[in-house]
Amino acid sequence: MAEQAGQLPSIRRRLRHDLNNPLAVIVGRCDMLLQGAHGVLQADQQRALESVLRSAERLQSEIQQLAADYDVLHPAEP
Amino acid sequence: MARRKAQYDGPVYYTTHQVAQFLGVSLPTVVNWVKSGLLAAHKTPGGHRRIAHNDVIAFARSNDYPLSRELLAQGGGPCKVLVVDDEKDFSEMVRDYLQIKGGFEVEVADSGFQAGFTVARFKPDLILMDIMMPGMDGFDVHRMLRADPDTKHIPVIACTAFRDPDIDQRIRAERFDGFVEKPLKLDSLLDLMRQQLGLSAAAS
Repeated sequence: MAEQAGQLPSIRRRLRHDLNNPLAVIVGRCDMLLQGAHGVLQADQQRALESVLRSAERLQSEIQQLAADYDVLHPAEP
Repeated sequence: MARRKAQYDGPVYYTTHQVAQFLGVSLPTVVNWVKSGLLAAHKTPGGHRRIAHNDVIAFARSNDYPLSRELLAQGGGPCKVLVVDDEKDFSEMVRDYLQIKGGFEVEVADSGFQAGFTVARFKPDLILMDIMMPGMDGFDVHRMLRADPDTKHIPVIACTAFRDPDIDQRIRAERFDGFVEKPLKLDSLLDLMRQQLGLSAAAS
């Protein structure tokens, strides 16, 4: 039980910090490419990237909801 | 034969009159600042006061004077931004974006410890600081910068992927100049940086 309790801050951190960091790179790099930072995209490339970005943003929303649910279930944990 | 003008890459200096114009104050006000030691200046052999560009920028930021595009453009070269983050992929992405879209000169540091050395050498105009880093975290580096007269004027924008009420409260209490949360919109980050640097969107 103590071990489980000891893991709780780690789970909270992983839900936010460790998942959001790589997601920030996926979202950011897609954003850059769509803005033409590395050159003009062809229409099919643009559609493909927009699809990746939409999925990444959906994932971001899911992570936020999961983190919020975790906070409700474990309100006293740091 | 026309003589080619020599290229000068050294520090830029202003007269007290120019500084008064840049900051929108009267000439006697600038002279008083210099006399009272608030604004660093040196005297030419002819007895005229000259003030270094970086000293004007530091003074303006420390005393909340808005920085005009004209003044920043005088400094020569693009604005310098330091990105401090232990997530290398993230800091390199931000570096690429700010270089391409912002026209900034950007360096990255992957730890709080390295940030200290890079600030001393690179002398950034602005810092994007990750909060959660192993060892010396973003709060530690920020306090160190604020305690040093040479770096206390540099605007620091906090950045974190781990946001909660405690982190928010600490960022406000420690008076960072801005805050962004990962994942972030890069164009919003660029807007915030331009605002902190006193640049308009067209000034990139």
